[in-house]
Amino acid sequence: MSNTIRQQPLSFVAPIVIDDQDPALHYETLRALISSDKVNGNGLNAVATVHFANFIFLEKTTAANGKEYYKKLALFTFYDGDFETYVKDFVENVGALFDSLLVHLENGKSLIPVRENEDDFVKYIKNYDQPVARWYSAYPDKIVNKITSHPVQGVMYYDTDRPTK
Amino acid sequence: MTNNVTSEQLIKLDDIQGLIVRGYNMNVVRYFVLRVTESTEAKKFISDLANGRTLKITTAGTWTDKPSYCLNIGFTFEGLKALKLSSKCDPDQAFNHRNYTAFKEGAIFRSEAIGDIKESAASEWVDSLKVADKVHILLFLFAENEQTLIEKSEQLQLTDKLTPRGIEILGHFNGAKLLGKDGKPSDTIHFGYRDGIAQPRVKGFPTKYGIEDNDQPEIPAYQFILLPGGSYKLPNPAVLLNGSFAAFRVLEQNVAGFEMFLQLQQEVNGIDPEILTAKMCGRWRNGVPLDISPQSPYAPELLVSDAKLNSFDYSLDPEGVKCPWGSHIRRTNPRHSAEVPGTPNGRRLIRRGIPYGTAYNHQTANEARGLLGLFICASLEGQFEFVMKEWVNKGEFTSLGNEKDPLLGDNYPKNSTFTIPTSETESVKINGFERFITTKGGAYCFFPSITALKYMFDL
Repeated sequence: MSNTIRQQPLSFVAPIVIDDQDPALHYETLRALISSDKVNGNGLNAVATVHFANFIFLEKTTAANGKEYYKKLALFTFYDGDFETYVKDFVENVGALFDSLLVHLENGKSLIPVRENEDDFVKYIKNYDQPVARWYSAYPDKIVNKITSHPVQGVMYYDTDRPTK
Repeated sequence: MTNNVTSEQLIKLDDIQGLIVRGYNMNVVRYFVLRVTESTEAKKFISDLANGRTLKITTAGTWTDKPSYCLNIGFTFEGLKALKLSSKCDPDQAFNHRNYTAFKEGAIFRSEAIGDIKESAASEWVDSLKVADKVHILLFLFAENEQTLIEKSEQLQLTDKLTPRGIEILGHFNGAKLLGKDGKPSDTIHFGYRDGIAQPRVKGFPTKYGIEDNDQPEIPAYQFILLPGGSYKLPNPAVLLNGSFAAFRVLEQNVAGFEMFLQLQQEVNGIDPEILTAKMCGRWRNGVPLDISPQSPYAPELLVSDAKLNSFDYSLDPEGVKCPWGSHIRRTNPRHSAEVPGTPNGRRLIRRGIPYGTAYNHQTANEARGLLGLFICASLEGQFEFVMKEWVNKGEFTSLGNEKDPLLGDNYPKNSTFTIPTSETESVKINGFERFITTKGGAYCFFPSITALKYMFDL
């Protein structure tokens, strides 16, 4: 076996839709969605190429009505293989999740359902993938299937689940 | 999905073309390559078949008695266009999604990307298949014996002397099962391997006609038949549901070169030819898998059924010591191989294959022989082409660098390598072997349901 790098990072950062009447509306809906049981890790387990996935809200601001909200959603992951090559796996297993997220992201609505817009979905993800200055992996030659058991049984966590002193 | 209707519940067996659901296990075949010369007459020819007015298209419906022949029909995209269907079924609109791009572009245009280069290049294919846009219809006739094949060909008016109106015969391919040691038709191919053992278990396909429960996961039917649930947009009009795609491939097998290679490896590297044969395939020639029986092909307890021969998943062989990562069957169906990213079961293919040409022996060594293969799926790009591009002709997916499938890959002596792990840390590398399988032709075709055939072609 060679020591070929078998993972790669995705640093997806996309602007959240800003509603004229209520600028915080889409952010709040998105936050509620990500916190809900709908985002439960089952789809990512089925894809079986995602090592880690962090949803992060970026660029906090305050609306004229005093509500705080974030302007961007980031999804940082490390995944196996090439996204375009394995997009079928993503679309089949987490297509519905992406559909529900894309409603609230700029330029996202036209991609729904992603299973019918695979090419444009790939372009969209690439477009919002930020360049990585440098990255580290403790096991560059290992893929998810190699590290964990079958089927993959990853778990979604909340920030509050982190161990505290 | 809506109204909680599963895609399996939408499968209509007596409406689906039969070869999608079951292998007919017939002894001889004749595959006709046809061109439409006049659309109205050609439509009548097809309509007669769909309605059973001449011969009848075989469906996956229940048989009381096995018929003496089976018949199926596939269309290339150019064929559907040549048939001048009504605007309600315009092929461009009907297959307006990325999933259908490979079908629309056709096998010739897509050939180089899947390894059909040099002597396998489309320009070198047999005359009937080498010209882009020329092949319109593939008619697959299966029979128990040669006499029936001749009679049914005559009834179809597809002979040297007869041609249906509106149709030109570009050529045909004859295939026949090779005889086993007992003199009876067998499932053996020219290389000496037993073939067609591992087929996907499809959810919703009847076990009676499909695959026995062999501990392998069930694959959703939408991976093989256009149904809701797949990672594709369904064709429009909806009458095209319950259809499938297939890559038809004429694969010439260089048995003489293969046997010489085996002898050379024995002389030079001291490798037993039967062991090397098994390592390259992943099964011994009799079908016994290395994952279950790595030391010997003698495993009578396994040879009782295909289910026994398929009840393995490589999970106890992470380093490929029993069955090499690069072997043909581990590449093309990685099962639970932990070295393969993603969900390999999303790439499965239903395979229908039968040999052509005379059996190999010293007298016939130089004759052309090979396999007529049909690789059935719902996504030619996502399944058939993915397997050819990523798993057969690359090694990165399983940390094998530039290595390719030792049997099916586009190997050339200058750079071919096959790694055989001998322990968790050591391996033997076989280098400098030639391509043993050359593509002699191909076509991408669509197998519509009977309902779709009547919808498209009834006048």
